[in-house]
Amino acid sequence: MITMKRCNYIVAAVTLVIGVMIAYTSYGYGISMTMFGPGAGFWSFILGVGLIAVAVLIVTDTLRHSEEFTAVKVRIGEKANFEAYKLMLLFGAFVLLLEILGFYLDSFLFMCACMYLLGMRRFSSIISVALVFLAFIFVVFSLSLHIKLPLPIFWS
Amino acid sequence: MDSIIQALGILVTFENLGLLAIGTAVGIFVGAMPGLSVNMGLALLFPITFSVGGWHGIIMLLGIYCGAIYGGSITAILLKTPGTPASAATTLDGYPMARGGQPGRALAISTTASTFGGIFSTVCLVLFAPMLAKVALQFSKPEYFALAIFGISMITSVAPGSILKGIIGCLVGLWIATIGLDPMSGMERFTFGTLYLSGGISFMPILIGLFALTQVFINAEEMYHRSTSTQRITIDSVYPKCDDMKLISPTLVRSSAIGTFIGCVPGTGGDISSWICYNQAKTWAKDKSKFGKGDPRGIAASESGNNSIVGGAFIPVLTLGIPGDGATAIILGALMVHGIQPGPLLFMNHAVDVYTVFLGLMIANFVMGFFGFSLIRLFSKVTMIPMVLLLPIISVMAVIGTYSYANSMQDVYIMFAAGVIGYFMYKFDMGVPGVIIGIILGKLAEQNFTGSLMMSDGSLSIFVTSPICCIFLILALVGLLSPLYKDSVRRIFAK
Repeated sequence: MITMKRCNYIVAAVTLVIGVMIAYTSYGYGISMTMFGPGAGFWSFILGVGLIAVAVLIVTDTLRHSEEFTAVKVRIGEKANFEAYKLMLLFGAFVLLLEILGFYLDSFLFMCACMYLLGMRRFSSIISVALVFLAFIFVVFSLSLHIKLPLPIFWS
Repeated sequence: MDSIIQALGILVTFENLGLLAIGTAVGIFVGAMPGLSVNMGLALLFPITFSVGGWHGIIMLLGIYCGAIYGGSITAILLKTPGTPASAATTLDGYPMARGGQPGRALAISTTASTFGGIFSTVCLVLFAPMLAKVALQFSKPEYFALAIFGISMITSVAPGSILKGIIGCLVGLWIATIGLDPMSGMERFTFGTLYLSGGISFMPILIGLFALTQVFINAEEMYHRSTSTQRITIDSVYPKCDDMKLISPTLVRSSAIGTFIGCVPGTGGDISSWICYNQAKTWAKDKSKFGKGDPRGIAASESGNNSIVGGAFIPVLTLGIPGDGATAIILGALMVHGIQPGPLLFMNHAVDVYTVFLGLMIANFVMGFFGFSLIRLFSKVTMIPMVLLLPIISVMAVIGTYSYANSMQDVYIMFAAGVIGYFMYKFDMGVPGVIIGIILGKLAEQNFTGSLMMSDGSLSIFVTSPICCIFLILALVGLLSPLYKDSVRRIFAK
């Protein structure tokens, strides 16, 4: 658990870095008036400068209301958060394996793992739910709407 | 009058009404499915118009268009997962109301507002099409830029967290919209040499990531504390209550009028309209504290706002042949394929065609309302699915929706990244709507900003010489500075 004050400093630092990068890169694209109008980096340069300004304002605001922000706690390292982090990892694996296993096999494995992770323990229910849902997806998207979904690497 | 009777003769046949009903039902289904957009539904079903032929196909497309915009609200209310970008604002009050045990009430308000907005805008289309088209015709680049800035100013009220952090999201969204080729010089910007980024980043994967996947992660975290994951909610009424109707009536009229006007401005759409209408409803409300916690006016504003663009969007399509958004571009294509050339001459030479579209839209809205009210109980069953089943289903649907949009795996990676970033934005009290608003309005703002400067040889005075431009910019300024003065204004009114 960290304080909102600390969060604000993190947000301001990240914003500052992004703002400086955008402004610097935009400057390279050109920010002066040309025969085609303002340079290609003119608009994004304004946005970069805007981000820098907002980062400074956040730091100023946090310093002004230091006590208020210290009192607000942000939960990011508790057991409940790790449920979300586990799901993020699982979803990341699902996305990465999509082109290897293909949509249907990968989705089946993901759904089974996800339901187990979220607390479902009856394997018969887990498998039947995944199969029924994917059958529905197959009928609606692949057969009816002809939407192409990733095929397994061994299929092609 | 003869034209209207002839148009009715075309429309009121068993075959056409049946196709209109099928189109509307399919539209509601497409809109309700997270990740399936109005445009995608229209594009996917566009080939069907060839098989059914002529007006039959176009009438079906009209039904899909109306139904899909409405359908997006269903999952926005029940799952906090907007089926279409136009319903993103509906999540702000629709989802809290549904979570508070009143999904039927939220859906009833949504259906009422959607039907009212659709019919209102169609009546406006019929009555004021030439006049509204003239107003929209007066818009040039400075006015479009001012309109975009006005939209951006909404972050002051729609950002659920800190306003400064909401502005960060908006600026990042505006920057994302600059990725790709510069429209003026053709120079590649922020592409890092990749082919994928040179085409720019579509907002669809970011939208699905921020609104759907982030919610999956948040729900997974919340499940840890919940004893049961099944949401059993009893619906006592599927029709809006009298008190609700009294409360939302002014909002319905105001939002429908705003939505119709926004709809007739090419380049805008239901997403912009719903946010502006939501913001206006909040601005006009005496008691703003309930907004974001399940206020009926919030749902009504967003839904009447996004559905009322339908009639408005057809004004530039029919009178000028200019599509207002992607969906009307597809319908415009369908009209042209079937031998109907939209433009000023269409009103003079083919009045029957014009009235067929008018009446088709009108009937589609009635059918949409009928389906909405009669199937509300069925729609609400979605929330009874246990979260342990719902989360993997939404995750897989998010992947399908993102991938099928452009058959791109990079879009899926971006969606995943947006979902993870959205989770931490939520934790750090940063509102995600700002990012979406920034992306939606980014191109409109930049192109018209640079275009205006070209028109004025680099002078910024062009933004203050036009009265329309001035009004939009003043309104934007009032909105952006509202955090500075709203407490003082509230104190004055309290006295």
